[in-house]
Amino acid sequence: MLKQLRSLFQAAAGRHGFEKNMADELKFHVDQYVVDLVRSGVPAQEAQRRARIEFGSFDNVREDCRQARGLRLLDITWRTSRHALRALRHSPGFALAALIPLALCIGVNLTIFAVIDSVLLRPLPFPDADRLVTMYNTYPQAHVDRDGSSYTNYYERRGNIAGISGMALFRKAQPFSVTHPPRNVCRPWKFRPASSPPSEPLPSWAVSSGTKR
Amino acid sequence: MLILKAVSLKPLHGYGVLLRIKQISNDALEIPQGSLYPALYRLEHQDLIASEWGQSDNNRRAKFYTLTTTGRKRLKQELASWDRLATAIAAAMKTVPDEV
Repeated sequence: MLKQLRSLFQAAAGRHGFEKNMADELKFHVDQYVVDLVRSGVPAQEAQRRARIEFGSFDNVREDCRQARGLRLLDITWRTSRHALRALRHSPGFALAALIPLALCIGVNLTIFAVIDSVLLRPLPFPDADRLVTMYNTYPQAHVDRDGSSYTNYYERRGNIAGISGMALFRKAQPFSVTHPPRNVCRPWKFRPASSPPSEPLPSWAVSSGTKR
Repeated sequence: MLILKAVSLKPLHGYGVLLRIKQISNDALEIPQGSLYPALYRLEHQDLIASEWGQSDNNRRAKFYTLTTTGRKRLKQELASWDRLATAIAAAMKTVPDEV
């Protein structure tokens, strides 16, 4: 298969040479046959005629040779594309009507894939991403429901909240300080209060929302 | 198979292949001239034969074909399967009523 592709590529890349060599080769054949016919006593003109007839149509043989080399498909593709381009140039309205929806569709497809890729396909960079929770600071007297936490909050809480196996900080949705998993924080069961085992599975990671300096 | 056999004996140009096949088959087999070249191109495309431009006997530029290693292997296979087929057909045709 590789060798055939190489052979096709060589023929296509040196197309001019390929055609010339092929023509030379076929001409050599007919000339040689004429020489032999003449040598066997056939008059020169008659020999020419006979050689050409017996060989058949040069064009057909050349076309068959090209096909044997795999060039025919290339030729047809090339001819069809040129024809299509010419036809499109003649009717720009139709060309636009065909190209614009095509471009839009490709664009929309790309966008949708980008979204699906980042939202669904690529997992969050945490173990057990489905057990992730976000932790906010709440200040009821100031009527602040959800606020970011500070570095101090983070270090105070890290490893000290039962049921949270690890913590990470993030800022503006960018991972900011992620210990993965933090070396001094253990898996959930180490934090479960011995007296009251939780009925619900514990969140394995808490993500502290934002930071305040 | 015949073309492979012909070029296995000695590098040949297309016309030489034609003559050689005629010669080694005692004039019994002749390839139509027009279909020889597509066959040669196909064999070369399949890497069974290789070609090189050289000088012919009468000092003209001619393309000579030789057998490649892959071609040699293929010729051996074709020969073996031809032998099997020929033996089978020969055996079948020699059968007489008593043997059935």
